[in-house]
Amino acid sequence: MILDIIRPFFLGFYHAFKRTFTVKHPFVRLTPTERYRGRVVLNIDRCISCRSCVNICPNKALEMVKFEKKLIPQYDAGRCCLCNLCVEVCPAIALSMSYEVEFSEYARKGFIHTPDRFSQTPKPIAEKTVTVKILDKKRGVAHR
Amino acid sequence: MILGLSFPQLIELILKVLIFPGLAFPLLFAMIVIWFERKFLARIMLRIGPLHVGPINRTGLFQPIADFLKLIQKEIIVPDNANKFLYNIAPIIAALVASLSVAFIPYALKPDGSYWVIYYTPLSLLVILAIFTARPFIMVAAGWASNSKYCTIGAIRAALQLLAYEVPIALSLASIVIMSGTFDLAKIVEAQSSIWFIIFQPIGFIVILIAMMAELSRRPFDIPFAEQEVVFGWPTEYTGAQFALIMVSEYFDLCAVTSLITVLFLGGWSGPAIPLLNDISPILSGIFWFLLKMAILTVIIIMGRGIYPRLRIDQLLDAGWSVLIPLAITQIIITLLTAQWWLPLVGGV
Amino acid sequence: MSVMKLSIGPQHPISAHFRFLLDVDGDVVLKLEPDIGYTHRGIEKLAEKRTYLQNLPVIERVNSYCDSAGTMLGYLEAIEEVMGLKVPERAKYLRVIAAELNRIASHLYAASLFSVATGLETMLMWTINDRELILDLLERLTGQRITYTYQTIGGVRFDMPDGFKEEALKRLDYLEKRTEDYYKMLLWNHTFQIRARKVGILKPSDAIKLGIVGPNLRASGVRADVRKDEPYEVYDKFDFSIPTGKNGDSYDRLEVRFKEVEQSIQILRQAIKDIPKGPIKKWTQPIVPQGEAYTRVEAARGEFGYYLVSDGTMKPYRLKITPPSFRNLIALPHLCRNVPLGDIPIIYISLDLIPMDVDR
Repeated sequence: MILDIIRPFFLGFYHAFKRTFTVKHPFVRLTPTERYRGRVVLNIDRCISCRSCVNICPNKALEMVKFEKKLIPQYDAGRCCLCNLCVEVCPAIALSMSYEVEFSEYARKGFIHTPDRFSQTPKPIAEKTVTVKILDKKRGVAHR
Repeated sequence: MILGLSFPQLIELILKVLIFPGLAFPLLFAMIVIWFERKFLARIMLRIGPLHVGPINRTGLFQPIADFLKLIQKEIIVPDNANKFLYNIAPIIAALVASLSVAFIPYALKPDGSYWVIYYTPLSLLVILAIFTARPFIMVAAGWASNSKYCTIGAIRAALQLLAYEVPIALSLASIVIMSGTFDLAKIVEAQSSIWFIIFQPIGFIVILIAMMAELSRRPFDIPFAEQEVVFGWPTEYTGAQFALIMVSEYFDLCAVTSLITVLFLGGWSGPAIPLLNDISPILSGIFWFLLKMAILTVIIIMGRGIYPRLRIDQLLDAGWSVLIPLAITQIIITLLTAQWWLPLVGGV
Repeated sequence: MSVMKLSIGPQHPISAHFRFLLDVDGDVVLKLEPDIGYTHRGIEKLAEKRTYLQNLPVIERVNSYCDSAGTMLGYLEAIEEVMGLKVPERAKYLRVIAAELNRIASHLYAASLFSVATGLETMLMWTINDRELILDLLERLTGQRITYTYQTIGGVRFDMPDGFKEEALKRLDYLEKRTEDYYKMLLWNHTFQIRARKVGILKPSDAIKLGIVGPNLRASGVRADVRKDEPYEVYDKFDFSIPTGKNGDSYDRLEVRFKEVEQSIQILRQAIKDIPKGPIKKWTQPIVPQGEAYTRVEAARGEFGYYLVSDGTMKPYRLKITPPSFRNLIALPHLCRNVPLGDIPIIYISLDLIPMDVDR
């Protein structure tokens, strides 16, 4: 019983000298994996206007609009739930996933991504990216 | 001659009252300990803690000052039906009572034989015990004056907890008095000049450490402050500068409690003389050892927050009445029975 | 003393999104009444307006932040039973891998909430840190951290990436050693044992009568698990045991969850070693003929029940979901009679109720 009272003391003291787990987030970010499902990006040249993506979206986040003599989908970021069923079903492989997930806007109409924003390639992420790694066999998990 | 003191004695009195151990020392102690608690507990939890506010990059040293300045700017709200006199005066009295006991504890030995203490009295241990006994009444006054159902219940629970843990403190102090034969704190330190009392009375040390953690309302005994789980605690109606005073008075109490335990069990200022500090003034090495022992005790008391869960109120009172009091009485009996072995080792009496 | 009525509202650090109405006399709680409905989204009605494939993101948000992979299995099994579809072997193994990883993450999350309710914030941070390892693995496999949309009708959407097997085995070894630290810090901590033993004892006969499911039932001593009683997917090929508790108090409910984590690690090791090669998806049109089916799966919190009625069109006619937290909710008023006030957070959190599950 005395051991049960004293043991957490030494365990806590040991952990006070390990590397911290939290990182300074906006300057250091997590490395996204290749499959990370973020904002959808459209390649306008490959779109064949077949409306498969519009039909399959569960939340009706895509809508066809006219753009430079073509009919392409328009993306509503406020409704998208990042399931990426549209990417899977597109026969012309015109849609792809990126790693961006920060959609905050000041007004609701800013959620609708016009075609130029929809087809914009994602910006490079911050200079330093980290992933979760196991440091030592027993007790160390940290971001490196 | 002002106040019956000569000029150098007056300078010394002003130094003692204003800087060490008077006004500036508990404040500085509170600021440093608040910063250290947040950083150290954060490291135990593998987090970083305060980071940005402060002179040195990535340490956040001025975070407590920033919090204090923010709290002073907030509006002080007094409830309509509250007893205004008691409500307004309770935080001030809490802060005063907490730091009053620092005035009676000797911190160093001066080369001419007297002690570095603000007010010297041969009954200083009794005075400090009386001050500690007055603490529950402030909580009850504040809780009752807020005129809210939950505040009163929280204040009564806090008072029950503090009253239940007064008795083990008094009993362990009694065994110290038996061993040293005097109520004078300075003479108690001199009695430990060869061996510290913790080696003779380890059970008494553990009892007083646990009982002081309950007196200060630190985890695992922090039902009064963390009652926000289900019912609110006693300082809930306070905002602004009054809230800041209540929070800081907890750390003034910590300063007084660690000084007291250092004097009683760990030998006060006794320790080998440090040559560098001795050149400046012979008092400084004594103060250095005193502060070092206070720091070790502070770390132990703070770590309790990151390690143990909270106890329920009836389990708390159960631990106080049925576990600590028998241990303290056992310590008194052992001290009395083994008198012939420790009597020649206690010096100065 | 007169009886005081207390309301622990929906915005509270302990109760997540529930509301409790308590009758308190002094320090003793006489009666507890839960008030649910704050997170009702109408998922069953939403599911009737969407086709079977469009329902995938909707159904997994029944319990999104804890256990979405285990939730999806039941819906897909119901559809596949009505259609008579056979899923390839590799897809079944991959579904089981995702579900078991999710179970470990969910149990670590439940342990962190439990330690916060007692006042030990250190364990909150440690378990959430280690849960990051599992979420990172799942991100490599599926692409998202908590709502996967990984399993579809007829299989799974993505295959295992390169380097997944070695990385997963390393992390599982680390997790097994790390649970020792959890035992030392939380479960064998003397203050925690004072607080959690003999609190909220649920007798086995009461548990069976009230219809409790999941680890709460196993902590009372009843050996019941859908993975062993009616094996679905490939659970009959794995060798694992079902941990039970002795007394049925809050301490046992937490200990059973830690032991289940160890068993999940064993299942995962066998699955990663034995996974066969083959296709991962059977390409098919999701046209479901007329019929109805009822399936049960074992999620992290207990047994999900799905009842599907289809009438031959592209959208389901009726989908009824019975979540485990809804069945476990009845234990809360039953256990909270004549207990001290400080026990209420412990009992509530040890039952591991998620308000999103209860309201759907």
